[in-house]
Amino acid sequence: MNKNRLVALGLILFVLLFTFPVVMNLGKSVAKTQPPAMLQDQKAMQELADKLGVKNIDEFRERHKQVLAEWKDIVVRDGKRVYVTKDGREIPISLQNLASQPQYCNDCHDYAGIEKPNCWTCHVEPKGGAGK
Amino acid sequence: MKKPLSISRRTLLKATGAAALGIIPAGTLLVRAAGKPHPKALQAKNWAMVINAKLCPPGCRICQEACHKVHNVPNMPDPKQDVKWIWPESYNSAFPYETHPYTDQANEKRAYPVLCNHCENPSCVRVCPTKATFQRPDGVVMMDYHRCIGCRFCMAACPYGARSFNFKDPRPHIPQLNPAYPTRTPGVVEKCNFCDERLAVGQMPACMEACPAKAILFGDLNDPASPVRQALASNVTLQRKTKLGTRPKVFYIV
Amino acid sequence: MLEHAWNETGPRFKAWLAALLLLIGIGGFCYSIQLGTGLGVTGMSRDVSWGLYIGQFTFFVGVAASAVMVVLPYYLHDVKVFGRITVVGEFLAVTAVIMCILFILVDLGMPSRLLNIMLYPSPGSVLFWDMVVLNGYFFLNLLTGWKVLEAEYTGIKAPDWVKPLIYIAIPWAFSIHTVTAFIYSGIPGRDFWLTALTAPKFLASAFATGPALLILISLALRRFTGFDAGQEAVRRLSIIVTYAMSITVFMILAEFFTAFYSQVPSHMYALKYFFVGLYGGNSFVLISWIFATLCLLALILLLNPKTRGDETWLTVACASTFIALAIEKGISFTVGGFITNPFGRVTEYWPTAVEVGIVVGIWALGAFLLSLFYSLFVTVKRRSERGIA
Repeated sequence: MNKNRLVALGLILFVLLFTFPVVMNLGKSVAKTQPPAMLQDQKAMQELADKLGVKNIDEFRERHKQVLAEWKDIVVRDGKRVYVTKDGREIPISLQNLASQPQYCNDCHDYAGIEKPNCWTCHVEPKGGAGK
Repeated sequence: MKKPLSISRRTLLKATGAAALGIIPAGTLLVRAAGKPHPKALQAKNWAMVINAKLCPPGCRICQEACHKVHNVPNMPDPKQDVKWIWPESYNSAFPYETHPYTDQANEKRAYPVLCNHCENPSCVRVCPTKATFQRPDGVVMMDYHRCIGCRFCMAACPYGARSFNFKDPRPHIPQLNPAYPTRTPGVVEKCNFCDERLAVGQMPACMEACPAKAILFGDLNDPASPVRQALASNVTLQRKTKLGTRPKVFYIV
Repeated sequence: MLEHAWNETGPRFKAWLAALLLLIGIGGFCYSIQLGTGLGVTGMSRDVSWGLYIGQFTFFVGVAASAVMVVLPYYLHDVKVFGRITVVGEFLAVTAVIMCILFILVDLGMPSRLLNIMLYPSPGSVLFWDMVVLNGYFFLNLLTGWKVLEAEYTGIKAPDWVKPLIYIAIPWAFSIHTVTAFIYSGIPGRDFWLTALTAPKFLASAFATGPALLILISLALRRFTGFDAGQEAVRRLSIIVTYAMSITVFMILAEFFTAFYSQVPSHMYALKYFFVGLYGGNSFVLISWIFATLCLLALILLLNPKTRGDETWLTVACASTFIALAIEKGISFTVGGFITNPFGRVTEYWPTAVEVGIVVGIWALGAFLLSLFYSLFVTVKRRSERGIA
């Protein structure tokens, strides 16, 4: 095997590795053109943002994963049950309350083309959720 | 007027570089958001438990049933891979090497509840490579199921056999799900949490509340007026394996 | 240098690699079963919570550390005869460390969270330090082994910074096995492990295992590739094996004395369990006696200069040493700590087929990497000796 062949092999490996996420998703799920209904319901979305203790739906989109991780730390590591937001509001920490309709989480994750949240493999799914 | 961000490019570069190299591990960069205790939360300096085993009748499993129901503890089909938080053992097993063949037969038959001792000097916490198990300022030895990597070093380090590993998915083996408490994912270690989730909202531990004989006392070891301290002051009590220096905080009246 | 190495291999070598690949595949398949159902597919239990995986990890940390037994004499005592095989030792160390990391990975309940060890560093945990020293050792050996071999290939002296790294790698080798021993010997309530002798015993047995393996590898290299490490090197290695094996057996016997003369029950339990069974548990009795017999056989053959000097007997002695210590450190020692359980009972452990399949897969991967390294090494040696750069 000469050097050129090694280089070519390396290039092929590189391309495969780098396009791996795209290749894996090829033909899998055609992104839904229709966003989930709740995403267009401004009032419902603001309610959701309020339950998480963030300003608005943009902040919800950007930070919900991080806030949920903070919630876990506050509950598990500090033994506290109330989340104090940056502007001083106090939110009871409850996954059940936040995701009273967990199907919404799945729909939105689906729409964004990312993995479904795995919260409900351990936390018991609230009633009314169509889950899984 | 807002102050401009006073961080030079050089400092920023250095900081990102350091973070990238892992010199400042990512975990320590996160500043914890503020939390507040529940208004009814029960607080103490050092939670501890006294079990009056004289009141534990043979074959009694009421505390175990109550605890396991509240905490979604499964009944795994293979007893070797079972998950347990609190369960009865004979005096002989709870206190091995502290016994002889001529002991009180009534005592031998009693069901000594054993559970995590929430040691003051916990070896499980010392060995955990991710701080997934840790000691809270109030003395509760906690498990962070989101962080546990399942290395089981803590199980080897626990001299009380108090820790269980989720060898398989526990969900199908939970008789009745309690929606207020999560189940566990396969691959993590779990154990008694001194009912942290109940203390946090003003309730006493489930085993204590369920016990019809009132054999379990719970309170602050640092408070001389607490029921725990009073029981310790007026009874002969034992702790399991004191010579190991773990300073267990579950005491037994025998 | 890679391309030449590959071109000079024969069909027999490629068939060997293919066979190893098949075993690696089987191991991968077994691991996929374990990933799907969890560690419930292993023989481990709440009472014996570590088994074959952690045992094998411990054993191969020893193999990795033992490379120092050729590096140290060569660089510190100017034992020239080891010059031809220091690189063989360094590549053995690199491979062993890779195997160690894989054994840890397959033992984790949550392998996807492995990086939590670095995200939440816990300097109080011996496992954290083990990760640090193993990674360090891996890079030290990979770098020095590669650079020394490259220097030989090109005929240009290795860069100056290689020498200090080689010297650093020497104490580092001791550190990896010491830290691994501290995983066991620092926890309360496991009296079989809780002895200051654990770390020294680990080092002694590693320094018997590794050189024994190196002798076997040298003899195999000569037979299959024509590369000769030299009789003197093998002779010196066999003396190291003899001393290290004697010290190991001495330390094991010392454990027996302390346990049975003191008559402290918790110190006797594991030893009784191994050799006569305890409370009805006797799954380790057979392999424990195999271990004892092999130790005795190895010692007789090694201590007698006539048999030690004879290549056939030396091969038997080295194989006995390796297998005996692979039993002792590769599974028994780990399980012994869990005898009895915290309630004074015995829970039996024996690996399942899935567990064994995964371990075989990792061994095959080790053999695969080692074969590639050594074919590269042999080609470079051949070319440099023929004077082709």
